[in-house]
Amino acid sequence: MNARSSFHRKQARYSRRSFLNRAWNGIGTLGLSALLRQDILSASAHRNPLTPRPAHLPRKAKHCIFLFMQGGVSQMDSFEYKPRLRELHGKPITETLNISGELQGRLSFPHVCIGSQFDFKRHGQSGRYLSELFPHLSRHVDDLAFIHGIKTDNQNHGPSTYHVNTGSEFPGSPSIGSWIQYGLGSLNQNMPGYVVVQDPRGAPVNGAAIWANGYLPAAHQGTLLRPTGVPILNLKRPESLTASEQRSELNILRKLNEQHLEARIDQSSLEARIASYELAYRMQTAAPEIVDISNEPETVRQLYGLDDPRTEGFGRQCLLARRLVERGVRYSLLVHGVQIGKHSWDDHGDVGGGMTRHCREVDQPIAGLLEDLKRTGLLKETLVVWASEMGRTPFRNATTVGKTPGREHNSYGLCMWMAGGDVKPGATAGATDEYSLRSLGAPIHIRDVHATILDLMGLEDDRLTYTHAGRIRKLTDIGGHVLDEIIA
Amino acid sequence: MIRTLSIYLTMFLTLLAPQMAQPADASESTTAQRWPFTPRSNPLPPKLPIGERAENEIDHFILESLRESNLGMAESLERAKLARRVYFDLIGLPPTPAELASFLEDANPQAYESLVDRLLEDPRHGERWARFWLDIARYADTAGYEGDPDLPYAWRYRDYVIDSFNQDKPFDLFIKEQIAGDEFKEIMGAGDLPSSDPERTVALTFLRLAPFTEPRGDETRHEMLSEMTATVSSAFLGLTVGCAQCHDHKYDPIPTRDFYRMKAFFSTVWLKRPEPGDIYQIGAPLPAKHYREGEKERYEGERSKYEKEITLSKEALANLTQELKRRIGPPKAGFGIQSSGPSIGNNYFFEKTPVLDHSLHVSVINARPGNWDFFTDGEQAAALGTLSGTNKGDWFSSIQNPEYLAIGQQTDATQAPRGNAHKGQIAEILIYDHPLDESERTQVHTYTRSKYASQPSPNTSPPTRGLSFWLDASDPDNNPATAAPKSGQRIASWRDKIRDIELHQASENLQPQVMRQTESSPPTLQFDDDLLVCRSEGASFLQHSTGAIVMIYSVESDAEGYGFSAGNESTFLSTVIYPKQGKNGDLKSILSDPANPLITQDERERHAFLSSRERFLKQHIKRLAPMAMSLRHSYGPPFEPGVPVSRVMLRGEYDNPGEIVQAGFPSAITGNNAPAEIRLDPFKRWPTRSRRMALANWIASPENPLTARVIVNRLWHWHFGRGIVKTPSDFGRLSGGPSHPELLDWLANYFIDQKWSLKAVHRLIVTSRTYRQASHVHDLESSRIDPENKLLWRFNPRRLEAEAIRDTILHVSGRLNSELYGPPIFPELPGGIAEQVKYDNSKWDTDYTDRARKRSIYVYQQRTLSMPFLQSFDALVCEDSRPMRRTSTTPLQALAMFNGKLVNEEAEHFADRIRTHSENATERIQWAYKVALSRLPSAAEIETLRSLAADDQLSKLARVLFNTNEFVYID
Repeated sequence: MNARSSFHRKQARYSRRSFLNRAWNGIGTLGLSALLRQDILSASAHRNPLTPRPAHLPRKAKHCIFLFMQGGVSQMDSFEYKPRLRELHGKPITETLNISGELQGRLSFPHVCIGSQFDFKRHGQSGRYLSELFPHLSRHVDDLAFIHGIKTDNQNHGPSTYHVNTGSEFPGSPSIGSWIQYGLGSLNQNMPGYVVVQDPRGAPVNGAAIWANGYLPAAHQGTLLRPTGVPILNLKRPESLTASEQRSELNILRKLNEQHLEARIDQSSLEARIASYELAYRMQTAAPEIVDISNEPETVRQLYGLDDPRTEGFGRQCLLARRLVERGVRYSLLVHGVQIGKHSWDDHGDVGGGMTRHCREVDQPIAGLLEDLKRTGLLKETLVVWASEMGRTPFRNATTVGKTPGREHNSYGLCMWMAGGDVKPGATAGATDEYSLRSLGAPIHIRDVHATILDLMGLEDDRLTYTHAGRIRKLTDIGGHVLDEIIA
Repeated sequence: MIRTLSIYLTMFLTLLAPQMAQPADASESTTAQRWPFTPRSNPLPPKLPIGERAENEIDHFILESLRESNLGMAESLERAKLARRVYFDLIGLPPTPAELASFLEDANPQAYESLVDRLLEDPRHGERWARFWLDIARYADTAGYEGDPDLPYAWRYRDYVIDSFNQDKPFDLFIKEQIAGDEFKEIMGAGDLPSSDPERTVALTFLRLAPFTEPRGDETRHEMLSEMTATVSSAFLGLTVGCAQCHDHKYDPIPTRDFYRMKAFFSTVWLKRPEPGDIYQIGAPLPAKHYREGEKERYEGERSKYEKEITLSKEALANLTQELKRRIGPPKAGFGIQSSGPSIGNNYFFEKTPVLDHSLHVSVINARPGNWDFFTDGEQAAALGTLSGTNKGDWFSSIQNPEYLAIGQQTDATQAPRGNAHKGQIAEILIYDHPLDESERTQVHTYTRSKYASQPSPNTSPPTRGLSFWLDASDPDNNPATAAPKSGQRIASWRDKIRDIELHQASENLQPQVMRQTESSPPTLQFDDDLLVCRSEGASFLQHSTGAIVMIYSVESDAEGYGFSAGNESTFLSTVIYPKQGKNGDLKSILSDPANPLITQDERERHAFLSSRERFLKQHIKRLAPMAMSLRHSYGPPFEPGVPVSRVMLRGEYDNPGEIVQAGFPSAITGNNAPAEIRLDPFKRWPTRSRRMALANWIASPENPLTARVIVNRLWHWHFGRGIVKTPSDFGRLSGGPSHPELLDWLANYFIDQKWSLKAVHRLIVTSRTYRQASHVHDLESSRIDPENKLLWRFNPRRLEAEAIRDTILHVSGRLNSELYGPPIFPELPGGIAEQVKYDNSKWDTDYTDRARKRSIYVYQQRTLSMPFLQSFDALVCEDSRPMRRTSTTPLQALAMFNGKLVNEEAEHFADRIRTHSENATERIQWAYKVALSRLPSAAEIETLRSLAADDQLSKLARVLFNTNEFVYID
């Protein structure tokens, strides 16, 4: 047998669509089309990328809320207590620190230390130090597990924002939520399974590319939910059409499509498209209900800080996240911060003033979210992740010397925390040096954090793969190490 | 078995054990390699199976492999459907009813072949097929990342590709132009470099279309050249060489060393420095004249149109601004309130009298529930802003637990001044428990005028009813017995005359100083960033919900300053002295306040539109300059870099150099590691030149085993929905190999024989019997044997790509603008998302003219903002090279198609066409079907739709047809 036909044999043997096989073997008196239809239905169910799929690991979390703080949060003003840095305030640290070739670019300035201007106190059973900027979150400190000294591969916002959100510093890769939905499917067939609520003031760096599906199927892209008004693009039916007119028009469409399908019953994509119109129709009702918070009691609104203009924006995003979780949305990405500039955490200028503002905006809403999730029992099945694209330096920004001190980018010092699901309460992974400049010992790479997120969602990094451009791809690219110390 | 030996073993034998290696000539050493590195074979088309019919050689191969699996071809697709298929396939649009009729009526046996020829000559052919190449070239109009800067001339590359496909430019030339367009001209003597051909300068844009911004020296250069290496390899050779950047390729015989040997061809690439101040762009454009016939005139015409529009819009803006300014009156400034805190809100009020004349003014603020009133020097002013939050005139009582009183702004416990303290003199501050009525206000003015006149009359007094708090600089210690303070004296405390509340300042350099307006006038206190403060105990007026505050003061600085404040850490209410119109003018703050009734929403939008005109128009004008986002080789020392040493970069890191390498071709193909021969000019004056041409010549050579196979496979993939090799940019081991290896080689040979003509291959494919098969399942046995239809026993039905769906909607509605070429277009985006992406300023200049209805290939490709309609149908703005489109089915597509503005707007226009066509319901439905679906409806379909054929229902008919599966799925 020549090479070609052996090749064909092999292909036929490994064919995954053996359903037709089964269909035709059993043809007796049953009509062909009935049989085909049955099989097509099961085949299209199998193909539907949103169908729930079993996890690889027994984990509690079914949902993930990813809180992304755009701009680079100053870890030594928030979650890392560094008294030594305060002692060194105003002093150059070139001599004490060995700044080697790896800390180049933005880090190669004269290094004048700035200690945190904020008070740190111990909180909770764990006695963890938190800065005074988190009076609300500190009530929940025992629920959180912290990761310190996380490294990303680039010092600029664009690449590092990609890196934290997609596992690659270059554009074009699927975001974390895309991977998780690809792995687990969606729990709600009336809503997209991956929803994004961005800062009401505008889009983050890289825009929608940080919730893109990359090379995964388009069904896995994040759907932008607008917190007010019409929540999803094109959700509102044309004004010229009443609801019943639309329904009857859709019925006509369905009839035509079914007639068209008669001669093409082997094409499951046609059937899937008919189904997608029904889902879209249901979404017209389901999605506005999610953003309609008018029925939330006053106590809940206050819990999230909706009564204060400073916390209202992110408070609403956090409240929506709880409502999304309740309605089975798998992954919610909440972005706080706009591009770079005063509405982001990119505090090159006045780090004290900036941190005071940003923390004020998110502290109460996040604490409210945690409390609400606990109250409703949802925290057990919801992984909450706090992240930014990088940390900041212990020394002041060179370009603002003489003004209020600010801090530079530091891709060696990102601090994140997680809560909920199987996260071990009060645990810690990694540590930074006494300046919060970089990790003590081997750094935790962002891909390790990604592997941990996947693990906590019941997915194994090595098994969640997709072949693209000649390579077997995964979220962690070359593979990450799960941080067992923060898993219960 | 020999085929399975890896190249490594071959190398081992040759290099380390030459004495063991059998003498082998060159041809033998290459046959030891495995597919796809083997040279093409020269297969003859197999004999036709008995009783079979073929249209051309393709069918011989396909029928032979079908026969081996006991399969046969499907029947031929009926002619009308075939026409629809081939129209979409070759030009991306359906036939019009007239075009369809003329084809169906053409009795010539060669009618189909002539149709194919016509379609291949149609300029719309290039518009459709260029899109596929642009996916591979990771084409976009912006550079991505932070800032997402515009690549203002990238669109010229898009037009170059359309041209190349329409002109059927030999593909080998197309390759060379894109890799080495700057190195074409032979240099014979020792003279200067020949000038570069503009079209080829544009072609080179290919190399720098990857997303890169914010250059970071060596690191960016390393990444950029690595990306070029990877993309050139996957685009032209179907090799994922990029996988070998950090480690030896896991599946294919591509060692890391080979990656850097290939990268070395690009080592003399030179990008012009970015224009000064352009911090995001990695390089500036190069000049490239407009070379198409009539192009220069067209763009000059557009430019002067834009320039005229700038003038007009500036005029319109000036007129509108003037009108609005006239309406809101003279510049507004004066005295007001700023506050912060949940229940108060955080905006400003100002009244309108300018006060920066150093003389004393008197301002009154009346607060009553639901209303604030402002008066300066007796004149009432309209408020120029709104307090957000719930405060609409609630007095100090809205502050929760005020902790302090202050002059100058102090909003925290540190007692340090914060914000801009007042600069100027304060004579008196009076607080009443009720709003001052007109006679009381008159009394205040009489009092002020007489007390502070050049000849003061000390016997007048301010209104006393309800006076709760009174700071008087004439008596700062509230002790009439002590002498009036002397000029120049610093005041550590200031006591109010009603309750004896003492504001104080311990630090001498923050204490105000006693002054007098004139020598004879009473004292005032001069504040210059100074601060007086006290605890608020005893200040019962802070509980009032109505009241008035009076301040007698002068101003010295033209910056805004804070006067009297009360508050605590998170909440405060402060009087603000705003001496004159700020830098941005009052108009701006009124415009940005949607609640201000002085300006209508319409005017607000018009103003915003006109204000952005100049910026957008200048962007459009810039795009018309004769430039290209191109690059060239370095000219070498002394002005530009010479040929650098090329090295392996360990783990792919830019700062981790390993062994030195020479530019060379992949050893898996050549079988050796020899450096490539780079043919320099005879005097070797330009050692930096000709490196990329050496690579291009090798890639575009008929002997290259991959190039021709890769491109004919791409064409096959786009025609049949699946390539002979199913991963068109990866011919390596993961591809699973070709389904029809002989056919692939035969097609590649044919392609080269036809002088690398893409159109020749298109023609051959679409006129084959294989292509003309029906797409439905005709035979259960075939489905069982080959369920995925790899052997092509039928045609694969397909969903149209995103661009074709949008184009067809416009085509059917009769509104497609068929203009070829040109700068990017900006169709309307749903939900105002163009305006929401604020990269400082949006780049999306929404166009409401018919220019925005050009074909989708012209839509601006903004990396941080995919056009949602196209995106939902799987057309992403490319970040990296994309060899194929996915076909996903999502509810967002359904929403866009059913509720979206594009479809609904075009449905109206399609309805108009149907309405004009006939008054008869059946005829209307029949004609609509012909236009939208290229066929006549069945009787059942006519019945289903009859109710939508009435005049006022036609847009529903149109919308339903746009939404049918048949509209987007092609048999």
